[in-house]
Amino acid sequence: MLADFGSTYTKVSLVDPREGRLLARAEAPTTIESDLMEGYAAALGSARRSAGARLEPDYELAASSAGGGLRVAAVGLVADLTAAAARQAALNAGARVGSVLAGNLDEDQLGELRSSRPEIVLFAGGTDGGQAELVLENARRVASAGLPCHFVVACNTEVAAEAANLLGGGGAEVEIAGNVMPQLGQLEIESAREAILRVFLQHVIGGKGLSASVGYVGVEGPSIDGFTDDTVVGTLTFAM
Amino acid sequence: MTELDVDLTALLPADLPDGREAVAEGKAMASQVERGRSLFCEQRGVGSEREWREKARGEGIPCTCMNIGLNTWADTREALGQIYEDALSRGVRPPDRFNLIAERRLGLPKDKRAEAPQETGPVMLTQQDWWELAHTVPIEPEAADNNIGSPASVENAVDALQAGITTIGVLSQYSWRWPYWDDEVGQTMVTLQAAGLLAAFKSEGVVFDSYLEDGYPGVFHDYANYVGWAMVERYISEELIGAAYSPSWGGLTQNPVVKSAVTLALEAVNPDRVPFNYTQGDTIGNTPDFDANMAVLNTDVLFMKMVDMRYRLGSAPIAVPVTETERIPSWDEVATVQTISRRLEDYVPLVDPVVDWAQIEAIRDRLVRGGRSFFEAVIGGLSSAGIEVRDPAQMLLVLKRLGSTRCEELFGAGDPDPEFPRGRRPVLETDLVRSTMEERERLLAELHGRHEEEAIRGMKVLVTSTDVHEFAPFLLTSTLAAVGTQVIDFGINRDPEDIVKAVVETDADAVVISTHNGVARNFGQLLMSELDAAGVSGVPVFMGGVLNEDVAGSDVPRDVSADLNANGIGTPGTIDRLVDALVDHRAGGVAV
Repeated sequence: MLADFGSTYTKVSLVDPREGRLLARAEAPTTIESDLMEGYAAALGSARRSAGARLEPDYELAASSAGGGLRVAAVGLVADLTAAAARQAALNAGARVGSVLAGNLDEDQLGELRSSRPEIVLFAGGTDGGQAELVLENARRVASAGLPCHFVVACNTEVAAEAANLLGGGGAEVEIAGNVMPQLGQLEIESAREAILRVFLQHVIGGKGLSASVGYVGVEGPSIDGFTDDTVVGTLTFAM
Repeated sequence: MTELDVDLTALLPADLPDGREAVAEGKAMASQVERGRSLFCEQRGVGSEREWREKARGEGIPCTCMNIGLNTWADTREALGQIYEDALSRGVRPPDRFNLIAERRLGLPKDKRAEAPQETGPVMLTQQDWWELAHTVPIEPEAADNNIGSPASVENAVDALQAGITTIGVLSQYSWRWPYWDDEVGQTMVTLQAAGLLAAFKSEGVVFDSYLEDGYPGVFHDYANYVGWAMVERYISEELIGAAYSPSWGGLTQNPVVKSAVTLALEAVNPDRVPFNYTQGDTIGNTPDFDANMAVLNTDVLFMKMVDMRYRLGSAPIAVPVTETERIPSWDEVATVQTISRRLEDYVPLVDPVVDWAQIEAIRDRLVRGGRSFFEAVIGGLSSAGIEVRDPAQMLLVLKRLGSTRCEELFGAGDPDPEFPRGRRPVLETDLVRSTMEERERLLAELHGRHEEEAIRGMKVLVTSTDVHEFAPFLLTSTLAAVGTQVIDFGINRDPEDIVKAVVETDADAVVISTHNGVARNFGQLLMSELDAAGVSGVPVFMGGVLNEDVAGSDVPRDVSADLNANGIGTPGTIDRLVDALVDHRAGGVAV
């Protein structure tokens, strides 16, 4: 079962992956005013009926394109090192990466950050045991921007807790993940990617009251190879 | 079958073009290339250098080779004339051939050369330069460094062929990275196109050279893997591309017995008997004492010549100027050792009969067995991992991205043994590894005796290099780690901008840079200004290696240590003095 929760319609497809065959496809209005799962149940029921058989899907995979998808901003120190790693982690989480900021953040960059209206800021910078001072200064500056968003901290682990305290000082939700670049050139984005999805499900979707019954099980996403700026993939697996 | 613990297919992009198509494109270019004929070939009455070498081999004529590359092509051209005349005036036969040691800008596409940083060595800028290369004196040129393998492979191969050059390299250099050039796939594909072009002229005697130490063998720990790597290159060049392949090697080996055995092992895996291109003289036995280096020169050249003559390799040994360890040699320094090389030919028949060749052949046979084991492990391992081993693009790129260390760890000929750095007991450990490890032990004994570890324990020291030389960084990283610093190994061949980025992310306490490519002054200046611009100018920077550069008003690159010091860069000269400087810096003293 493959589902897409759009702003207007929830689309469901039943496929047989062994034969690569589309069994049925149906859609129903997205029930954003009550509970997302009502519209999903309607679409799934319709698809099952049109398949003409009583199907119990082995896997249920869902994605959402509603509102253009999850908006994440990536912050790092060097554009093609930790900032690029943060961006890659956000892309692999299926997010739209509105802005990628690097260096000692100045007012113009903070303005860019605000105008990109991120739902989550992925905050990176420094290798483990590496840069601390510039990372914490960036954390102070981002915190001072007063963004109405959540934070995932994936910076130098030695200062991650301190950065999280700074970023969460105004009451924002902050989750600490593993460093996206623990050593020079070593990309470790899985922890940050998972954290983004957790924050998305618990605070962005849950916080909006879109559903009381969605339970997150795990995430599957594409590998890094072949990823492009325009690709917004990554799927969420739900227990329903 | 080799079991691999890495996903090799992940090293290749999904959209990697088929290398066989690139080779075919290169072959198709041949109809547009009008090959010239060099002055040397004209005078010898041969169509190619290969034809001359086969003739020389058959008739027992000893050949010699030299490396040459002064500041500019004009300087180099003049030096060629002087060397040629000098030989005639001394009554010795002039060198048969030379390798043009061009600087790295030649490896960049023509429209990128002007903006790239200048290094020591000539660059061919015009068609006239290329023509003169093969027509200034009757000494056969090889288009050697920075030709095929580089991003400018195709244009350089075309220029070389049109000038009349028939030995073009350097396949092993495909593993290099050129300054400010990171398109590995593009570089691989043009390498294959250029190699395809050489393949189209194989029947006319055109040969694809590879100086092994410019590639992975230069950092391998086991000579058996040198031989295996040459088999891999030969497989790619001859079986997959169709170009005649001839390896060269020798600069990083001091022991003449070992060197003789390795040369013979490389010849034993040369089924088409393409004349062995050249054997490079020893460059690691030399010291700053130029007189003492005469001992290295004489022993080394005599053995190279005996092997060449006894086994009829058709090779051309290179006599290394005794000054080369300190600077790029001037024309008369090259001419001097060429004369010595010719005179040593007189001694070959006197010494050859008393050398224990059976012992050397026994070592050869062990190396050949090891080499075949390496080759079979590479082909079998890659094939079982899903690599299309008939596609030269996949072969070249996957090996490049695997890296020399992993390559030797995975496929090496020696038996597994965790006591050795590469996880295998070498069939025959390389001289360079042996001497590097000895130097490391000497340094550690000296440093431990001084009890300075506490002063620098935990200090974050970023180590890198400006070029492709790996052993100085290896010596630095292993020694600095052993005395308690936290080494950040930033690899080799970095641009100043890369180093600044690394300093920003790691907050390194010190930067140590090894350099051997004549860029020290400009590299240092750019690095310091970029560090300043990034707001991390407080980090101490040290440089070591060969600290020279072309400077206006000097015929040879001059020492630029004073310029570096004036710029705030320390030049301690030796690793033990570097440790002293780090200790001083920690204590708040002066680092330079």
